[in-house]
Amino acid sequence: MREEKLFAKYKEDVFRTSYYMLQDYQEAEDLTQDVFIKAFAQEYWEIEHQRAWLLRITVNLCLNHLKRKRRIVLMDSFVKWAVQLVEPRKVEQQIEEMEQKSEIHDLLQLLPIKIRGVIILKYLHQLKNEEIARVLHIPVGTVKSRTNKGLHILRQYIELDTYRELVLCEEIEGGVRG
Amino acid sequence: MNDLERRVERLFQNDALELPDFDRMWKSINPTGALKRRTIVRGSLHFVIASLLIAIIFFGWNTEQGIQIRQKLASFIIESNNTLGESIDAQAEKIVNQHVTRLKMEVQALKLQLEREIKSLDQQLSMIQVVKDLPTKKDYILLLSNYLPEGAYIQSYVHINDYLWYNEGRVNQYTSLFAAKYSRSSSEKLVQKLDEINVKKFEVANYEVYYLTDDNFHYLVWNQAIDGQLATYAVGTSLENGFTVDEMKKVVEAYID
Repeated sequence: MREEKLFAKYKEDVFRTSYYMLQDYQEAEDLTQDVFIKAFAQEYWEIEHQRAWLLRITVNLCLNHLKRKRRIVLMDSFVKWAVQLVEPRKVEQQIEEMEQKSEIHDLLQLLPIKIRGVIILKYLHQLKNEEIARVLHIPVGTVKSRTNKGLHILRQYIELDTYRELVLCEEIEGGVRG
Repeated sequence: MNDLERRVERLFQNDALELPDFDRMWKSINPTGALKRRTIVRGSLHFVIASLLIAIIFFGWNTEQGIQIRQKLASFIIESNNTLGESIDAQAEKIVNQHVTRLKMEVQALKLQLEREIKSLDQQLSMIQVVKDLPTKKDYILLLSNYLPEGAYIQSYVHINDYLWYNEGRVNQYTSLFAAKYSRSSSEKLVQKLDEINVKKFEVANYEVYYLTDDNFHYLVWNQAIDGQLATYAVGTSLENGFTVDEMKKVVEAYID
């Protein structure tokens, strides 16, 4: 079956892209299914670059999904804050939640969604600028500028994080000496 | 590629992301399995016809066995064709019916959602008016809502960026009045907890309104059921240079009315 082959070949690419874009495991699973349902409804066997085509569907669906979701994000933040105000979480619980998320997950969260898409296509899927431009239907110059902006944000964060670690190490050492 | 780019690439490669159960996912993507079954039926049919043709060649076209096999082949082809045709028709009808039912449900759900959003939008718009009419110390008002039209939301968002910064769900540098509405299962839980820890509350327009505060902000929170749907509403402002409790009460009162 052609559908099954297509699914088997690209399921991981589609899922990873969805996960890193949406930052939510359950939503990424649902969206992966949506991507393939949408792909099967079209004449996919005639598509020359199926991977790029599927990634385009994935990124577009992610953007649409986040656009819809954005409307309720602020409210979610307030709910979480309000609940926390009356029911503070335990420190262990907070640490456990932090440990479950990887460093790349945290870093991607810092990026605006359009820049995040470019960074994922470039460094996860290792697409060239021209390929990314074709996938996202944007000029190559925009790909380059989004990449630069993304790297700039990541660099700032990584440097700040390194600085924090240094300060923490110094404090610990100071504590041990003291 | 510079060091940072290599580091980002390495982080992607080394991320031990647990993959989902793709078999289960495939089953839900392909719920009817119709294509697979049709392929099997067609495959079996081709095999039987090929075997009978080989048998005819082996026994000869006009021999007694050959004639018998030819008759069997003819009847088999007619029967199989009918069965296969009926089977495919039945499956096609079933799939179409499933899609029609699903589409009807989706349309119904969308209709309901749209009605709810229009109703909510009306409420929000009247609330904006109420907030605007208040004697305010600020020259801007922020209204946060998940149901505002796209343009209004974006405008608010840009504005918020100047004065507000959301970090891990906590509001910082809050200087203006805001109003929020959210509908979640946590509505009941939140009020239950507020009761448990004996939070101060007022009665406004026959509703119990809770007064939350910390070092920088204070809020009025209340639960209200509209058309049988329970939702939690909140109005908040900064303690230092925002609205007073009485001013916020006016907002609540006007909104409940």
